[in-house]
Amino acid sequence: MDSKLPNDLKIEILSRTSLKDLDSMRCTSKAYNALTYDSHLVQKHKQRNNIISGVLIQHVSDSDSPIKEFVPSHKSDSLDLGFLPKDATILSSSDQGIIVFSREKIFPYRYYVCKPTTKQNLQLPQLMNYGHIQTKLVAIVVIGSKRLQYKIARFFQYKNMSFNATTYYCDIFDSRPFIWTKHKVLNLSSRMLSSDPLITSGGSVYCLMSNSDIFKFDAYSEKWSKLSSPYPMYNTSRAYTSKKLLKYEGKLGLACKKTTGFWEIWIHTID
Amino acid sequence: MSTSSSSSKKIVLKSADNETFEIDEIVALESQAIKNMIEDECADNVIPLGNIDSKTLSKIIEYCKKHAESPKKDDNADIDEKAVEDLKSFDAEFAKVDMPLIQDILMAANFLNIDNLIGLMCRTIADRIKGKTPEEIRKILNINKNDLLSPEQEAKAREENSWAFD
Repeated sequence: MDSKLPNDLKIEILSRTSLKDLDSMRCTSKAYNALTYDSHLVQKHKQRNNIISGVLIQHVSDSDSPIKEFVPSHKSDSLDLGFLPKDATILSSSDQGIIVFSREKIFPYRYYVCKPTTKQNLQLPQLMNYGHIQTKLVAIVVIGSKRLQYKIARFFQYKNMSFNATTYYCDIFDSRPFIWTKHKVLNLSSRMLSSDPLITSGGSVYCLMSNSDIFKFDAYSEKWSKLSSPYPMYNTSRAYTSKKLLKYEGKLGLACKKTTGFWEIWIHTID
Repeated sequence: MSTSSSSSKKIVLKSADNETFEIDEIVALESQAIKNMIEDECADNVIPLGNIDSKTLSKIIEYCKKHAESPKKDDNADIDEKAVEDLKSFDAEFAKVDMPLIQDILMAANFLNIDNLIGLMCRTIADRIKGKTPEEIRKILNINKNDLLSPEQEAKAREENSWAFD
């Protein structure tokens, strides 16, 4: 009976629900799961609920005050990031609109969690490791929303390690019980390509690696694994001039630019 | 009142099950689709609505009558609040029907292009799934059991949180 409603009416209904209810709808069926990612719905839902969306851009120069800017998406309100401290460097952001930043000028060295839409700032407990280390990657993952719970994973290497080192260490902060936990050692056998923004999907963080594999860190279980790249890329890696991880309708995707100039998108699906 | 209902123009609507409803033109004009038909002079004496049954159509006419009688917001800046309240409570009562009928009304309102009624029905459905679990929503919307996610897919979908702070 439900299936008799055409999609445009389902979109009208879903655009009137809260984000929380949209999360529940996503789990009800294949059709609704796909519909919650429909661009018409996303657009309509944002407008109806005055949801701010856009892209954070950070220009990191040699000076210790990176320029931070918010570029709103179509028909979204903008966001003034002027309330952030000048020396703040944004380390990571989540799809839900929470960011993690650090401050260069304040010691001891700490991370801060912030919700730009309400200008709420929260200082986290002191980091467990700093000084002789180099932070390679920081990820924030929201793992519970009935009451907000998030984890921050911080991957780092020691400064005396060689450039090609593939051993990483990881500290994890859990907002409940609000503590950092001791580092884990990860022997990855290739390097993380940490210059692109991370992709978070289904509670896991993904990052491309130097051998074209994809690093996966599950924030729930705190376990890591590797996904091998899609077959053709593995076989003819020279046919691609550029590759990027992305999120496509909630799923992990890999966009590859071919020498012909066309992009191909590979989607990671379960069964 | 300068015009009495007996002297106003009448429109006849015919449902899918061949029941006819005679209504004032002013009531029929609540439907943008019928309004366009009348303005384009392509409406006969009887307008057949082959995809709307009589149960749904009588509900829709009930809605249109009430809304046609009520003063329009943009007509008059100081319409009394009582009329607004009255219409609100009418809408609330009107929506107290079962889910199959709500969906039928929604489809028909969409076909007849009655904006307010589409909005009312969509809000009603959205309200009924508010705060409910996926299992409860499946029952409320009678979602096709052949279209369920696999356990792995559902576990993953549950870990997608799109909101963060209350």
